[in-house]
Parts: sequence; C-alpha cells; structure tokens
Amino acid sequence: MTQIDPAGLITDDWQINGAVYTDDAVFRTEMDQVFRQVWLYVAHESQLRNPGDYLTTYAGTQPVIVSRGRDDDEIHVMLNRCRHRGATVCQAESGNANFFRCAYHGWTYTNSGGLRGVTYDQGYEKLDRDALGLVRVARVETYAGFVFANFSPEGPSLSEYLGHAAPYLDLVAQQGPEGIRIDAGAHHLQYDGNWKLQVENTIDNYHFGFVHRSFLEVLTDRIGSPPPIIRNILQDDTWRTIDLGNGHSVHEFGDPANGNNGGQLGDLPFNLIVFPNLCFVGAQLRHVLPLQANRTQVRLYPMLHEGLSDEENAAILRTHEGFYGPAGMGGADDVEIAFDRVSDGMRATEHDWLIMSRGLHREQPTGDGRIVGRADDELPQRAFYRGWLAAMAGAGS
Amino acid sequence: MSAAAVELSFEVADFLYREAALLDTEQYDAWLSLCAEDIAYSIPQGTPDPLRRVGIANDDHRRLTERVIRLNSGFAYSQEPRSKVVHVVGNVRVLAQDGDVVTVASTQVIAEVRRGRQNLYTGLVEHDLRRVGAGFEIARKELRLASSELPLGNLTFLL
Repeated sequence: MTQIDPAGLITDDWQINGAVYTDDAVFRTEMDQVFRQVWLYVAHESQLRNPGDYLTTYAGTQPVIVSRGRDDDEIHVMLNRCRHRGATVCQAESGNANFFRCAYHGWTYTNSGGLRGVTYDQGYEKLDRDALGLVRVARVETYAGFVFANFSPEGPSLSEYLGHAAPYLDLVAQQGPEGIRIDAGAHHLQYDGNWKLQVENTIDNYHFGFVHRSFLEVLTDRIGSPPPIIRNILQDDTWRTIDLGNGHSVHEFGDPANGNNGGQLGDLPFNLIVFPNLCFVGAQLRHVLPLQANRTQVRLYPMLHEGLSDEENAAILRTHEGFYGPAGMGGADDVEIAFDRVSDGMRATEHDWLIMSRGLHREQPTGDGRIVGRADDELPQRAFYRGWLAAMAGAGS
Repeated sequence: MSAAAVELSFEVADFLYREAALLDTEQYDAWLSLCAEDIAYSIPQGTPDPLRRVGIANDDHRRLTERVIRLNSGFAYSQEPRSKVVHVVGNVRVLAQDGDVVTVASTQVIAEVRRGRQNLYTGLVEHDLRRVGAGFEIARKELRLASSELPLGNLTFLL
C-alpha cells in the first residue's frame, strides 16, 4: 500500500493538495486512522426508545447495527456481519426485533449481539459460542441523546473528545419545548466526489450569495425585500465562526441560544460540524457517509421538536424540503457546484492546489483552545484540517 | 364503457398529455397556470405521510411559484444547463368522480438527461382535476416514484 505523508498535503500558508480529495491511498488512510480512532456518530436515542429497537447505519464505511438490548436496555453497536460467512444479518433500516438471523445458514444472534443459535451444530467439533457474538465496536457513549461509537478501545472519552462542541450539542438537544426527535425519515443524496466536500460546505458562508443566488431571489419574492443574510455574513460582528478544537467548528448567527438565521432554512441558530462527519444545519442532522475517495452518500435527518403538534412539526419539514433534498431549492445547487463541478475541476492536476487561507490573518485565539474568525472566513475548514492532520499523524511513518 | 365515460377518459388523458408537453418544453409559467390556487402537489418519499415524514416535495401553490421563480432566475445552477425531460404518460384511468373533481391515475416514465447522463424515473401518478370552464385545473398531483427511497439525483426540474 502506498505510504502517504498527510502533513505534506497542506502547506503552512493553507494550500491544500487535491490528493486530499481524490487519492485512494489518502482515503484508505482516513478510514484506517481517522475513522478508527475518533468518536463516530451512529444514532439518536429517539430512534431507540424501546427495548429491541434497532437501526442500521455506517461507522466510517463499515455497516453496523445500533440496538437497544431487549434484556439489558443498553445501547449496542456491532458490526452487521455474520461471524460464520460474513453476510449482513440485519437488512432493514430500522425496526424492533428479538433476534437477528443470518439468512445464509441460519446462525442467530440476540438483539444485543450474542450468538444464540447455530443450526445443525453437530457439524462442528467445538464452537466457542461466547466468543462468536457479533463483533462489537469497542466503545459506545451517549452525549445529550446523541450516540457515538469508537473502534479504538483507548483514547479520550466522548465528552473529552467533544470538548468545546459539547455545549452546542446541548443546545441542539434543547431545540424543542421537550427536546428533539429524529423519526421523520431522511433525505438521501449521493454524489461522485469526496466526503469532505460536503462537510466543508456545511459551514462556508462565503459561498452562500453565489451558489444560492437563485434561492435569494426566491426569498426576496417571499419576504418582499432582499434578505439580510449576505449583509449579516459580511458585516454583523455577532455572526462568527469558531474553531472548537479536535476538528470541530461552529458558525453562530448571533447568540447560539437565541439567535436565528431568519428561519428560512430551519431555526437552529448555528451551524455545527462535529469532526469528522456529523453536521447540524437549519433543522437537520446531517450524516456524511464516505463510500470511496470519489463517492459519498449523505443522509439529512430533519429534527422534529418534542412537545409540538404534528402541524407545527410539519412546518419544520416543509421548510427543510424547501431548501434540501433532491428537489430542494438550495441543496441541489451545492451538489452541482461544490461537489460535481469541484470534482470535475480537480481532475486538472497539473497544478493541484486549493487555497484555504481566507481570514487566516484575522484569526483570534481565545486562550482556551478555541479560535474565532469572521462569518465568511475559511476558519471552519482549517479547524477541520487541523483535526484531520492530528488524526492522520503517524500514517506516513 | 358508456359514451360519457369514454368521453371523460379521452378528456382527462388529453389533459395529462398536454400537461406533460408543457413540462417537457419548459413552459413553466403555462404549467403553473394549470395549477389551482389550493393545489397540493407532492412527491412522497416512501409511504405518504406529510405531517410526520419528510418528503421529496410537499408543495402548495406558493412553493410551486417559487420553483418557477428560481428556474427563471438564471442562477439555478442545478438546472444550468437545463435537464432535457421527456414524460411518457400511460395507463390513464378515471378512478373517481366527485362533483366537479375527477380523480385520475396514470403511470409515468420520466426520462431526464443532464450532465452527460440519462436518468430514468418511473412513478404512479394521481391527479385530482377540477372542472373550470371548458377545461380542468390541477387540484392535487401526487407522484409516487418507484425509486423514492433510493439516494436520488437532481429533481430540481419540474416533474
């Protein structure tokens, strides 16, 4: 396997080499280094209310089952892979089950992963059933209702890892009068480009007036005058980006507890990136799933508010659908420009560097590990790649 | 089939063909003029449940008007260049008649060409057509795409 030197792919003046997005060896190293040593979001507790509830998702590129055990009421995260010959044992996106039964040869597991039954087991001289449960992801922890898993048995706890991002997750969890729930389904999109393009685009206020100009024209017609968003991005000092450490970042629209963006994308008063692949924007939890260096799936889960009526929650869904999803009036323009056109353009490798230095000269460290920038700075991107470099370190040695 | 039923069947099919022709020739304003002020236009994702489940589209007349404003703005990059679209409308059946509203089912194959690729969408479509003057207006249109739960590409043209 090709050895790569991640530090050589990002210059001191914040040029980023195209290989970061296009190179298969970089992608494999990300899956081995980043996604196997940091905390990965896998589920929200509202999806796993009752014993036996489960869902299937991905931790990095690996299919996993997240379940609430029937017997122990604990949340389990385990590989969706039969120990016998490798088939996935759970096919549904979500449901409630006592057992997962592999359809290939009938091996059966409890919904917390233990091997319960092997068919015609006289064919084995000996079989250590206790050691043949579904393979568990080493650590599982929950913060503010968000369930994370970590393949590495050692390293910082979830709350240490979240660090300065944790208070923002608390605010997300407090959005509704009685909290939030994720049970309205999800928009799925898929594009031929690198997963980091979607993460970077999540907090990129510089692009909004350009990529989303048609949506701004719609808003102008909707509210009767040009919306203030571009002026706020460029001039409002309370709209700011913050490097939260560990690769996490946020963009605040004023006070993160009470500010707002005008409500046209959803009411969350900030955009948040939890390194490496969890984002919050508008009314949605965005889970970015890397498939290959040049292939990505994104799941957009609208967050409904506990304590609101169906009609009030439907309004959240309609606002979300207006901008996001395959027919959304905004997200599709991001796919076209920030993913498809960027991926096309990066095939021109003769000069293979991007410029990610916007606002570098005006970064302001706060002294507690955070760095503050203006709304339109590329500070969230640098925050991401600081975390990325740290996690990738050692890959080239 | 009675002569009246044959005539109605012919009439609604002709309406659906003309609607498809407006969409296929990008006559969006003319298409919008077919839509009733109280239209409910939807492309559900999976089982339709607009109160509790996210959909691909759950549009009222205002949202449809906004889509046309966007497409006409010159800055709708996901439609720059525009999709070439062909609707094939088939299996047109009158499901019900209630006062001045005729409920019509059809199957549609929607071929879309863009970015060097042809995408094929198929759907079960229902229209509520309300009589106005000598013709109809669309009071409800629901497209149940067979692929609605797959990761979909770009559905920012008008379906």
